[in-house]
Amino acid sequence: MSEHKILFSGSTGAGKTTAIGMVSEVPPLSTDVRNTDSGLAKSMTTVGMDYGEVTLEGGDKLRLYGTPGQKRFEFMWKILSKGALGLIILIDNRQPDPLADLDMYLDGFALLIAETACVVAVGRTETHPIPGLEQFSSHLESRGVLCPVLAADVRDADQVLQLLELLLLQLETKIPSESQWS
Amino acid sequence: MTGLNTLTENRATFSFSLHSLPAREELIFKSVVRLLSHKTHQLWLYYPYYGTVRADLLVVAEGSIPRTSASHHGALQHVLTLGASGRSRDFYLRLPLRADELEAELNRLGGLIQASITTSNQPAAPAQPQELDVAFRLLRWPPAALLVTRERMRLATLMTGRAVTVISLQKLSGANLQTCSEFVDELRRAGLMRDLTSQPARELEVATPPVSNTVPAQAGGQSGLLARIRQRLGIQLFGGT
Repeated sequence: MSEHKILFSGSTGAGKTTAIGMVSEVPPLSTDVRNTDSGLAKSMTTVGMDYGEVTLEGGDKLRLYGTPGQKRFEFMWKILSKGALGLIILIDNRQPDPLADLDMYLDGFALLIAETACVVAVGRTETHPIPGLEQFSSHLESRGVLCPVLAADVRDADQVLQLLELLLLQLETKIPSESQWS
Repeated sequence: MTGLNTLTENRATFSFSLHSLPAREELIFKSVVRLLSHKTHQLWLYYPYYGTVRADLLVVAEGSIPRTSASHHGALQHVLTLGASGRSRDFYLRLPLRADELEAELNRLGGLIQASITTSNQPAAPAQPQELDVAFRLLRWPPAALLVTRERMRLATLMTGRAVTVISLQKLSGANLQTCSEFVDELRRAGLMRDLTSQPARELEVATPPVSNTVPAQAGGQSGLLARIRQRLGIQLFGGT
């Protein structure tokens, strides 16, 4: 039996726990604690990671990890990146500087993004339309990253599945043969 | 295929950037253009002013002196000024914006841009059948206006990791050849694709990999990890939605 993993990262409050819960076949394990950071408008926040899993045909496990959003947990990003199939970055457009948030994850996961696949999902665009998706695309271009950028509401399972679908498609374009993933 | 494909069948695609406008006016301008998109003579896409793609039309605040240059179509960049004080005149719209006035001005400017492109002998011609095996590389993720269906989102994603030809894209995706051709053509006209015709043969080989090397069975693969993940999550490949 093999194990594989996909990472969800992004701003605090962007919905990593929710996204994993939408596709995991087990209740997502979270390490949420009471938030003591007055800068974050939420009562609980993830300080370790979220975890969910999906059992594939043949018994293989697809593990879904939500990384803690804060930069002080960058050391965990690198640990979790090892062997991951790809990364879904969730951006909360309510944050003061969503493009700076994106930069932080592009830097923190640079190697994973270069070697595998990445999808950027921007949340809360209906109430916070700026920066727009075009600005995110332009920003990614300036960083030399070409990957799907779309608005997403991770409370909708179908939209989470679309993020995973695009991640798999992009991964497919980056590997010469699927045999290594079999 | 519905939506944009139908709408743009006979329409050119042009781009605009905004410079020195207050954030509120920027938002209103982009919103009104989007609302008018079903009826303007051309399809207008927004590009950030500081991006690498030089838009066909630059929209500026009255009094600003922006830097203009040739657009990605090779024609001179046109400038439309927005202001609250001036009288109506050519290439000028009074604020607050009125949708009917903006529509008329966009149609007029679109005609001028189309004419200047034709004059400079760089027509935005649709892909011809003999161009199906020309390799292109996607330069940046396309604007939402060009990604109106999930199928297009998937096609664009398949272009993020490698150069493609229309034929290789069709083989990779399993999508309809005409769908692939129309989408690639729209991306080209929007200045989002780089023609790799002059690239060394080795790069072109990457652009058109034998489909069996990439996709084990049918398009997207029916075996292996990726296929098993798709199967477990209920993700359908092309033609599924």
